Amino acid sequence: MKNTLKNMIDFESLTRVRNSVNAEIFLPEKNNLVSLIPLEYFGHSVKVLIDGKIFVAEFDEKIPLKAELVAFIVEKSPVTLSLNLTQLLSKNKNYLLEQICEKLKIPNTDRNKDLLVKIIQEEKPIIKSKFLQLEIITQKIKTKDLELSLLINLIWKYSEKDIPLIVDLYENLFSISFSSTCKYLFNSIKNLILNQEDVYLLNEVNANLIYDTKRENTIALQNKSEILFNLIKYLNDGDYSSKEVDEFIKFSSIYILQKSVFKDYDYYPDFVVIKRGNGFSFIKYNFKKLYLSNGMPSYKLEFEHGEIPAKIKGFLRNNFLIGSIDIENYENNLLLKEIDELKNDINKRWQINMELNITEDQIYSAEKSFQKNGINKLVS
Amino acid sequence: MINLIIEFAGKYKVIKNKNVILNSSLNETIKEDKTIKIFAKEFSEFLIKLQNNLERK
Repeated sequence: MKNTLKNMIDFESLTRVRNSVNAEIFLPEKNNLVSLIPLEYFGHSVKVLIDGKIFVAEFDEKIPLKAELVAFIVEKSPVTLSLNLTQLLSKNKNYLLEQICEKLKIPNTDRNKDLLVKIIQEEKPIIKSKFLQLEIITQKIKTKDLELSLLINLIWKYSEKDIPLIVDLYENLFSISFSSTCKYLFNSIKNLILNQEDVYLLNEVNANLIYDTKRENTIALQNKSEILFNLIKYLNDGDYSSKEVDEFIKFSSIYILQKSVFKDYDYYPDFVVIKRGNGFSFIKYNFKKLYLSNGMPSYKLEFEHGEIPAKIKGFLRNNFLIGSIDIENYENNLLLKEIDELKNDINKRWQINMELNITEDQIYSAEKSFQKNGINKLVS
Repeated sequence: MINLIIEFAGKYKVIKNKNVILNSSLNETIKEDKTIKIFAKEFSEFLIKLQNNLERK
């Protein structure tokens, strides 16, 4: 095509980086955003188009070519750009989001800003075409939390022609969230125990799916896919048929399939059924596996109790875990004592050091609750 | 394993197509991660302990 353009003497000479394009003059100041189109790799650098001018820039990561995206200026000389906006997001969220909307010429709405936050948290580059696909799909498919994270990963990985497959996946397999799948499966496991008399089935469920703190059957804490698959096969081959069995097979299948998709993007959500006295408790959790520059894994984790308002969030890197805990109506001193015991146990058993802080919200709500109950002796 | 699970997923109308997004990962799904298992145990037991303490109050 370049040969057919009139007055196009030499295409390459026009796209060559010229000394006249002075980054000091033409680029915004350090820590500001620019909208750009990366054209091609140029040695170890990348030729990028910014406001109609070509610069050679260095990036600290691999970048997609020929797509309009937003980067922030790390240095002007040499031109160094970064696509990872997570630090800027934590420093000045509102300003950053306004700047992105302005640079990409997208409406500055709350919905768009929420989507941008989620993309940045997923550490994906802000690519305009991908953002627009996400914006359209999320009008059709209402999704949040883990499923929204997955959707962003799918859109960023696959091309536009695969969008119908992604929509199909969300209209079918992810029409219920993984969190709901776990709750339904938890209920169907309980119903199976109450309504089935098959000894093998009951033994398998009790030994492999329900964790008993007295027996310490840690197999019940593992990924349940293989165990569920074997039970599905057993129920199917034995021609068992009842409402409870059907529910169990249905939610076990959904569980296995949803987990397999999440695993592709290094998400490991799961749940634990725990036997307590005559009843059962339910804990759900999620691990996101990340990889450090030396290839070693690190983990972002979240635990949530299914019945009481208690949450743990943390980040595990090498042999150190730092995190926070939130639990309503719990006395702070008692909580600190329990945390200390847990820290010692984990250190002794697994040689992992841990710093688990009580969040400010937790301290505030606990103080408020104990003041109300007259327990705070300093006040009374 | 893939076929049986997909058969059930089809029967219960949880998927329409056996698309590439699913098939690429299903075989890998049962592999275990030791770190996850450790914290699944420690934090689940810890949360249950907190629940027991709360209920005793």
